[in-house]
Amino acid sequence: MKKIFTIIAGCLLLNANAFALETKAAEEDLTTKNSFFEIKLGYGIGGTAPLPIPAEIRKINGFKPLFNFSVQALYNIGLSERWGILTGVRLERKGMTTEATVKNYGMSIMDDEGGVVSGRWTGDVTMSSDIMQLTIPVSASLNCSEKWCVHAGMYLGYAVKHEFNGEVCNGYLREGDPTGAKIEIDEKPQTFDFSEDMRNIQLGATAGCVFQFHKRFGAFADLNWGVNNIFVSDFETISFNLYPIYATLGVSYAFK
Amino acid sequence: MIKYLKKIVAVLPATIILSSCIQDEPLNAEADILSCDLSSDKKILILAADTTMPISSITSNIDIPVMAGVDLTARTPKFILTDGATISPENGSAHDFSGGKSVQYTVTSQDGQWKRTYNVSYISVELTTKYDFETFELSGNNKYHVVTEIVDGRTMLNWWGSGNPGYCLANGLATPTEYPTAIVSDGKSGKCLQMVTRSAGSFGAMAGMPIAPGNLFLGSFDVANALKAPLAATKFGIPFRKVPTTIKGYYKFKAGPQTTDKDGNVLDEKDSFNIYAMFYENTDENGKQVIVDGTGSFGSPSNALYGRISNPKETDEWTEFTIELEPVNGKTIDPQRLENFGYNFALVFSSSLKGDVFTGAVGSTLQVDEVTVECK
Repeated sequence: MKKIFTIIAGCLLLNANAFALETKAAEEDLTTKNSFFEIKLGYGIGGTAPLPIPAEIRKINGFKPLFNFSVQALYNIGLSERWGILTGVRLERKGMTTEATVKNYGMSIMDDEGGVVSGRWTGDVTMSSDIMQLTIPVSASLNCSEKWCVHAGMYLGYAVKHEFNGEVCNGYLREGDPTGAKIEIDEKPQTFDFSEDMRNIQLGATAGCVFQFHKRFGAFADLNWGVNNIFVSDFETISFNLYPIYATLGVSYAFK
Repeated sequence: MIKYLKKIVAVLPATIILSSCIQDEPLNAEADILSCDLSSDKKILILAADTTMPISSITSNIDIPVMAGVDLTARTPKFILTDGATISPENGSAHDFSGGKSVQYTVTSQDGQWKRTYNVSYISVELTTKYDFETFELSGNNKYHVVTEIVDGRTMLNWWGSGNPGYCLANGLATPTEYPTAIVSDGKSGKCLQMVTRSAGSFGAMAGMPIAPGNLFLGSFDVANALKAPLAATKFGIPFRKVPTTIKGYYKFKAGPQTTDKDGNVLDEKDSFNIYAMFYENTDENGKQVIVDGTGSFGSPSNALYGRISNPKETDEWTEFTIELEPVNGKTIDPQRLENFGYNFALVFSSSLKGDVFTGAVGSTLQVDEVTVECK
């Protein structure tokens, strides 16, 4: 975690340096040449995952990403011929479904009467995480060549919609802790829903590149790494943190 | 720069995958007694004929029901625990459970993080005195009925014995109601006990036991000796702290068409049935245990009281019977011995009067219901 913050701080410093450069470069009027508006359409691959996978997870039985589109409208503020600040707004979805076999895994399941029983689950679990986020990325950008441009920075996201739910089956729940009442659940699944316990604000690190295969069209790849848990800090049912880590691939169009 | 970028792009997913490897399985966190292994208590148990008593996850007081009047000063119960868990005091160690004393056991989980404590005690369940023959359980192999009594919601499996386990060896294909002893409908009220003298087939004939009379008795049947010594395998009596005086109940009886002896010879006599009761001293003058078995029940020298049905007859109506227990062998009831569970009570039903010598008529059917034992 500390490392990630160091990286972000580094990126910010990079930005500050870029500002310093700008003062010199401003007179040369090269900046306008490097300032442009761009839109990006992308598709995310990745997952919302614990790092490392905790010992409670014994086996991953399946993984399915949802339709993780992203739409970005960005503006590159040219600071020099090569350096700039890339910022804007992004609407994106980060969703996936995972099936796993777990042992002694923190869980709260709903019973048939709508009550909630919390404890430790051993058995099969299917988890779906789906976050729709409005994100403001701020990166330092660098034109490496005519065709390549890279950027690195951070993002702040606000979840306009967040869901985390799923079901458990073929196992048992120990109510409260491992010494509590043993509630067996057969192949008929019981559901859980932690949507209410999710964070609205998500902070993350971002890095990526664009390959400009045409004057205006480009192909891009971004990595967006969430650095805070998707759940609020007082949520204790799941005993480890989950981070959204998604790579986005897509096309960009620059108004140059 | 591009080179670096390529490296970063290549390394990052690998990092994620590597750091996300499945870790070694964590040690078990549960600390349960899953079941009690009571093989060392087999002879005194009431609850479980198979000596394995499952323990619910919410139980922390374990009561092992045993017959009243047995010695509990050094019992060695064993416990089946969650994998890897440990128990203190040592599993299977001897403890004094007499006088209602309980022993506290602590189970520690494999990971050492969790503990559960259990209070274990042996509880004596005194024999009831009213038998309606409404309940049974299927034997462990689902073959035949085991007649049960329910006391305070607890199913007593070990009070009534029958020769069914022996018949199972002779005719493994029989359905539960084709066994010599079963609970059937059409009782005087609800269900009733039915005993039918069955053919023991070629297997039984070879073993010198051509017929299998239906029987039921307070006591147990030792299946290990069912073939080599079936009479000795029939162990009569349950420790009892009251003095039985009169036994009342209802019966129906129909004799089978042809009476045969143990060699299969047809005899010119009509089959009859038997209902009798004994109250006997279960230790001899040296304090050694005495169990009256099928070899000499009628005239056992240990008997203090004895009585049998006086006028058994063929009837298809529910007919009341009364048995008065009378002192025998010149014995009187010793109150001290009575208090210390020194007497066993046995009540015996048989669908063929001479079933003990394998003489009887296949098809003889005795039904019994609503039996009460009056005591003083």
